Amino acid sequence: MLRIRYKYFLLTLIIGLVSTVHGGSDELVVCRASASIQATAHVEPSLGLAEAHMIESESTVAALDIERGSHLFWLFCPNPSGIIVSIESLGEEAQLIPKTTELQVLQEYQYASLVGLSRESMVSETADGNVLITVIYADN
Amino acid sequence: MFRKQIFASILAMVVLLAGPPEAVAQESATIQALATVISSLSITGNTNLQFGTVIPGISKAVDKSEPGFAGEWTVTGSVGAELTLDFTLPDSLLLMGDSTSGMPINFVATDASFDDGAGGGQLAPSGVLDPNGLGTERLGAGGQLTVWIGGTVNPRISQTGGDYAADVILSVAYTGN
Repeated sequence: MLRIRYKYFLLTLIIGLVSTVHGGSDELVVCRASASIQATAHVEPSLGLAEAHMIESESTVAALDIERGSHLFWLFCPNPSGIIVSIESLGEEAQLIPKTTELQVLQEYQYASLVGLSRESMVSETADGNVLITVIYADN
Repeated sequence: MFRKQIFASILAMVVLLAGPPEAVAQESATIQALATVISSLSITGNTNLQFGTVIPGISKAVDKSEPGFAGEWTVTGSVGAELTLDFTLPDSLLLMGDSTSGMPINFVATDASFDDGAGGGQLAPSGVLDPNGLGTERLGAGGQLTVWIGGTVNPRISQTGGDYAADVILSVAYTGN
């Protein structure tokens, strides 16, 4: 009988000591943690070759809406003296650069639709007398 | 009779060992060994780093101060505790459904910031973090730290159209200071 009580005493003592060492709590303190977020982006599908636009007057040019995301687009102008290419009005990101001095430059036009579209352009005259302006992305 | 003799002997030994009263004059004082177990550290990702629509061939940046577009985490733990901040950054976003097509992304030394409650939030944070290195900061008076991150994606001219994504991970750990 005494031996059984002694065992209970020892068992109680051990449990007491263990619970004292652990603070009597099962809660663990987390000292390191991590969480992730996602970086996301949607890339506009490349068109490769966009629509060609016939420029008949200055107003047409001013209202011209070139679709963003195009790699390449052409502007046709029946009258070379009437076409307009303005470096300043296109913003710093996209510059439509005339390659001939015969083209009239009208600084007041705002080509909002072109901003961010191109880094390089080429101007040439087609066989039928139209002016062909080709704007392409600069290759990064 | 025999028990009485034993008891007397023990008593005598105790008295002898005790010695004269003036020789045992002792004082004692107690100090306490104190320790505070700090609160658990937790971190939550609140906002994805969202670049929105990008055009092939044209880089696009999101600044860390742009609410709703910059990535954001909230760290919670013990008030004033020092912790390390370690970013795991992707070098490209992957096209969903085609993990072989990647779009480069880069982070510069000023692309992350934090606020421990002493600053003015995302627009005027407490400080700047370099997401490319290991940072060390302290949790604020409220036991919180908010971290923001921006970055730049660089789509190639021939980048395939579609939705791209990659994980950006922030790991935090107590330093014990």
